[in-house]
Amino acid sequence: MKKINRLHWSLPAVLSCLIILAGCSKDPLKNMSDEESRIYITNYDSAADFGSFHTYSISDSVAVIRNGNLEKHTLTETDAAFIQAVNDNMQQRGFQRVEKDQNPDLGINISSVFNNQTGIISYPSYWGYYNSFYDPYYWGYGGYDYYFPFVSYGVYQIREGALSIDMVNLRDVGKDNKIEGVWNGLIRGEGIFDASTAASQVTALFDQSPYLKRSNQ
Amino acid sequence: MKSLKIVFFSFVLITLGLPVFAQQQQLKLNLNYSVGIPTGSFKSDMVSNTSFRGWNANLLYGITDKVSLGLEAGFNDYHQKYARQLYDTKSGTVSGVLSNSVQTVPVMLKGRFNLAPAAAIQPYLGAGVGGNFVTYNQYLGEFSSGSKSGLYFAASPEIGFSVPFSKGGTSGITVGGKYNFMPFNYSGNKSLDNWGLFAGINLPLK
Repeated sequence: MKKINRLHWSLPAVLSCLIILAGCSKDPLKNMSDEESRIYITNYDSAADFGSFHTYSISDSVAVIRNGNLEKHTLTETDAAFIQAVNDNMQQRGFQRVEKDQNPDLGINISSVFNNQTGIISYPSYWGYYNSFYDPYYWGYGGYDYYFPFVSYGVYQIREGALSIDMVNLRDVGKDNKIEGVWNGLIRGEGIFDASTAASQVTALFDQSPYLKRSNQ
Repeated sequence: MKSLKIVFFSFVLITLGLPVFAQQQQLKLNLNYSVGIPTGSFKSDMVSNTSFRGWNANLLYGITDKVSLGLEAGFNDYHQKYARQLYDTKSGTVSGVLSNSVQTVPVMLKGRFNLAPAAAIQPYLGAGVGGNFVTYNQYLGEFSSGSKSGLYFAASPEIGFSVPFSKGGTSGITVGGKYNFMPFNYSGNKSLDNWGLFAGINLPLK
């Protein structure tokens, strides 16, 4: 009987086993729900006295930013849900909503950001702030620039969408043609643009911003 | 599926009906399923979950009936996901689900001392020393928040036993445990030390 060459048989067997077993590595990103994939980022101006603001106004649509450019403004069901969620949270914190021509203390812009190439956000990387793209003219300050004192910019590669909420100080607009941002909330991850979860996502931003309230709250 | 059958029948052909050989001057392959149990700062700071994704394999040449030397390679995949928490940043707060993912691939020189080469149950002592290829990734949500890969030192004293399939046979099963010293250095974490438990098959190659 022909003697079995064990080396001949065993090497393919061993290699096959090693390849199969090496494939057992778990991919953390494939074991994540949409909710788990999301991060909620808030930045604020620590010098701002949020308790001194009384009124706010919120933009009536959502700016769509694609690859760093303002593409359009939209008011879809999801957009409306986010606007409503911000309203609800601001009013729960004691702020009063007024129309934009009634001299609001704070202006709030909401932007949907879609980048599939290198974008500009602040350092450190993903918990940064996307630049405010809402036209300052909306608040009656054409030619002014938004200015966020807590932001340092960096460059980062992103592919997913993000929702950015900017809160700017309209009460104290300076003479240097700048509108100072005092708070920014940013949501990144999977399944953001869903009307049914808009309220819980916005509430998450406010929950981690306890300083964002009127002084009598 | 076909490749799995080839693997299975290869093992059957190799391990059944083999004649009795002394272990001296024999090259043996050990292939084991391996479990890794984190300990120390690895457990407290990075991953406390046991890794059930692992293997190790070694080729040992019998210098004498009792002493064998060779090479060993292994793999273990560790993973842990922490519930959503708030983390302070320079100018605010970020909340997210933090995940740590660690893969270790130790490649070591290996020695074993068989305490009872002719017994039905053959206890042994062993040790390995070499390098450890480490891949570490941390995610906040689905976003990478840190990573480090590199080659680090590794050493692993072990104890175990082999049971031949037949009296005086050269193939059998192996069961053992070891302590894996795995130094590491990232963000204050100094080690990936873990207890390893393994079981598998050993068979001669020539």
